[in-house]
Amino acid sequence: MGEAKVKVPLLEVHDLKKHFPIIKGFFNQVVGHVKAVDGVSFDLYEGECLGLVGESGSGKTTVGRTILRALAPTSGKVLFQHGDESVDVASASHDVLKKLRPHMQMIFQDPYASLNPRMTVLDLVGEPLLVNGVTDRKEREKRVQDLLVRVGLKPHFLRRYPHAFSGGQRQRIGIARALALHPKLVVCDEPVSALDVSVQAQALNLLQELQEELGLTYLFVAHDLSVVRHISDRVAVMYVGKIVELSPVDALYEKPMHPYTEALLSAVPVPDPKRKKKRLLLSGEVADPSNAPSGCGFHPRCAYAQERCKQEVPELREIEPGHFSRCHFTETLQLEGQADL
Amino acid sequence: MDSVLSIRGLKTHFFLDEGIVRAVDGVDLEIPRGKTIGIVGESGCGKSVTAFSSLRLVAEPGQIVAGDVVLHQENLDVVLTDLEDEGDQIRAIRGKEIAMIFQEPMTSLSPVHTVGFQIMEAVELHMDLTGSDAQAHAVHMLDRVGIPDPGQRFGQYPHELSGGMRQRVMIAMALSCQPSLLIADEPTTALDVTIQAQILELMRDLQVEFDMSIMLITHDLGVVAEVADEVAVMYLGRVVEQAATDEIFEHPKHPYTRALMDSIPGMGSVRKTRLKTIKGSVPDPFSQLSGCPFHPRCEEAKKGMCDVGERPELLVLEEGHQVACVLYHEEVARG
Repeated sequence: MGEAKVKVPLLEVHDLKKHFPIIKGFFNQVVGHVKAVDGVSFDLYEGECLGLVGESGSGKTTVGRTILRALAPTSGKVLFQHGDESVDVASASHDVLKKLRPHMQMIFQDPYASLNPRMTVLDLVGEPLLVNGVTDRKEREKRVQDLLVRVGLKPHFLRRYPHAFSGGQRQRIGIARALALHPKLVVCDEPVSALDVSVQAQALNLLQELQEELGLTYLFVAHDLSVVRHISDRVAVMYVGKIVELSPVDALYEKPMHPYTEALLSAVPVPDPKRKKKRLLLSGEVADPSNAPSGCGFHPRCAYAQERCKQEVPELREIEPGHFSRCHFTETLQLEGQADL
Repeated sequence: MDSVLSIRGLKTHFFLDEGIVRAVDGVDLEIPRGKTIGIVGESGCGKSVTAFSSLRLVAEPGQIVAGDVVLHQENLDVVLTDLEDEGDQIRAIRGKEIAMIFQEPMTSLSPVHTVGFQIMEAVELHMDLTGSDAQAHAVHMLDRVGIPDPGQRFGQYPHELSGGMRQRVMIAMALSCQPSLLIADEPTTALDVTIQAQILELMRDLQVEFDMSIMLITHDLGVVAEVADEVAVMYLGRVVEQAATDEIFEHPKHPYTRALMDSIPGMGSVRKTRLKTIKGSVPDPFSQLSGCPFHPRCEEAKKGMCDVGERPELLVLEEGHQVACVLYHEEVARG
């Protein structure tokens, strides 16, 4: 997929870190840090969809938020291609950010919590327009109606409140709101995980249609590996604040290079009773990001771990063109994929 | 078929100011002994309410308005729906004969009691064990569900445990009195995939060891395909199709089951193409549709057939495969 397009990185993320302080005691002493994002780097090309997967606590949501600077990063660079210049979102001033924000938007996970119940659809979807200078009420109404039609809702829903809509419809309102300012980059944070499967399919189709028509670039944060496979061009797998594998989508599912990816793929239940596969059971749980293991963060759960993994932190290395893995022994391991996931 | 629980014509309605929600509206279900039956459906289809009704845990404004739930014990059958709501009889069954694990372990465990205390409570109530014997049994159960260092965990509170560990505690509690039926309501939905795999594996092992039946309620067809022997698909308060797992995945008969399977990404769908969807969404719970309730969303619905009259009854198509769809009624009538 990616080869056909001109490779212009819309977004370059360099060594992004986000550490949350752990504060304890009467004097609010900082006793440690939760290293939610601990050195993440990747490029996001214009028009592609990069899936970001991982278990809870892996830092995938924090990456999405930090890129948009909904959270201020601890360190690192987020270069966003704006016109001819590249702007560092991580260090941009308030004024610069305000100019950038229309170009980068977010779709949230929970369509029940992310819409203000006291605002009508017109106010909800019109708010970003109002903030960005569309002060004429008539024009705003017109544009909101167009947006509603665009996401498959009826234009006369304008004056209704969120409670009058089903989960799938609410998610469409969230999408309309994100698209109101014609963004280039949309961070989708688990956009379909709160939806039932039949509605989830509708929402995924809508996201794909919009991407093709409007040339959107998605950072698609999700934990559902089959959803990610369906929509993404490339996939990054995160584990305890770090990207452990980054690859074009098919290569990742068919021929994973990191032991964690292998185990993650193997754990997904497949809706096909004929395939009683042998499962790699990971022992233990996701490591604590405030007290990450030494060396490779995955070594306590890794079936292939050796002495070196406990001491040396592996680098994210490009093993094959475009296929990166953060494991000392990638070349020597024969890992199994799940091609039909 | 040897069943541990029979649900016949169960109707549980909720009487609200806005109208009547017919959450469960005529469910017929046999839970086979020693096997796992998966109950699948989207939110609002009544799968959880069926489970709660079986345990007589329906609270106001809900009410079981019709139907029987019969528990088949070794030498007697108990009609659960005839028992007193808060009586001793149902209490002797809850937790002892039928145990339940819930979706969100954090909200279903008491935050102010240690996990050990909570397991002991059930043990002391239902087993002839007290004091240190009950404690020993509770520690043994924690060990059995794979909790490391069970002696120490016994004295900890739920907030000190991770999500996966809490779900293990729930399972330990549910199995501590060796129930003949375990109702698991979305037991892994709140968990990560790697932890989900661990919990499903554990449930499978324990099922063999304790020789119990499992009623697994889930919306995840993948989970069902892996662990269930039989599958019942529910839509708007009724079972619309029931068959053995292999059969239903290979030859889904009801248009709803087929559509549900088609809408999952990855099941034979080509990437970057559109997924097949079910048009519309699950209708408003207050509405009462005539005919088959799936007809407004059904691609194969025929006018004048599917949208009139009563809901289609479950029809046995072949041994062990039942479908509630007008189209098959037609076929059978024609021979």
